[in-house]
Amino acid sequence: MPIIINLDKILEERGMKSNELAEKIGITTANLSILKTGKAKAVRFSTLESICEALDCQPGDILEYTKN
Amino acid sequence: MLSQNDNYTLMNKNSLLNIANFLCQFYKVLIAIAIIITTTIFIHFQFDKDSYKEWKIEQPESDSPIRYETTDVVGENPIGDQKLKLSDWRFLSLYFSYLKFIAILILNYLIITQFGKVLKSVRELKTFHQTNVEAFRKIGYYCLLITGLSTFNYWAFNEYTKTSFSVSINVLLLSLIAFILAEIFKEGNNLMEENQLTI
Repeated sequence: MPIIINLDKILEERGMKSNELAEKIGITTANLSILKTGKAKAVRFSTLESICEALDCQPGDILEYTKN
Repeated sequence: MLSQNDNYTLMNKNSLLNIANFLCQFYKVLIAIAIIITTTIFIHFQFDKDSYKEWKIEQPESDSPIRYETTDVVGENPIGDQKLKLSDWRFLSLYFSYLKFIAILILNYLIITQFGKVLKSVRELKTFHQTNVEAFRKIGYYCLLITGLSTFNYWAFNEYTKTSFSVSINVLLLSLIAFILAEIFKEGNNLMEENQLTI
């Protein structure tokens, strides 16, 4: 998929662990893993909002579009 | 709002599902008994034909109200008291009818087993899983096989022979319905996966 999730990069920059973020935004670590590995088919605005709030970033920092 | 656990408990208590499940199990037992009894009689008949001298059988009536049939009869059609004698049944026709009957019973057993799996998945709230798509496809193929097996009938007795070709539309329709259900469940499975992969 040409949409890349840069969650790992942002998490590293913020010094936060995956399970910590999962707990903060109220989703399971399994679902966060699906999101990080690019297996997710869609992201809810509410989830995106929670991630941006927890990581103090913009949606564009997490999502990136690359041509195939 | 009901949680997944509450839903699961409700589904387990659903009386309609329980009745259907019970009927499936009951029908499976009946089929197994029918297979055992038929096979026992069939084997015993090979060794001791004389015991069946007084046994008379009727020609099976059409099992389906909607069917296409062509018949070829040799000899006089027995009626009333002059029913066909079991001991007059010719070797080839007997084996053919036995094997066909047992195969249809086994296919019925397999259909019920697949249907039981679907019922179980509904109780476990796994209705739109891929396994149900496969179960309905199998049911469709089994129904097609039953239609194929029922197509040719060969009844040969000492003084009476009847061969017929018939297509049972009912079973064909069931097969079509099973394949359509498989497609519907496939669509449901796609939607479920999409929902599960929405974070």
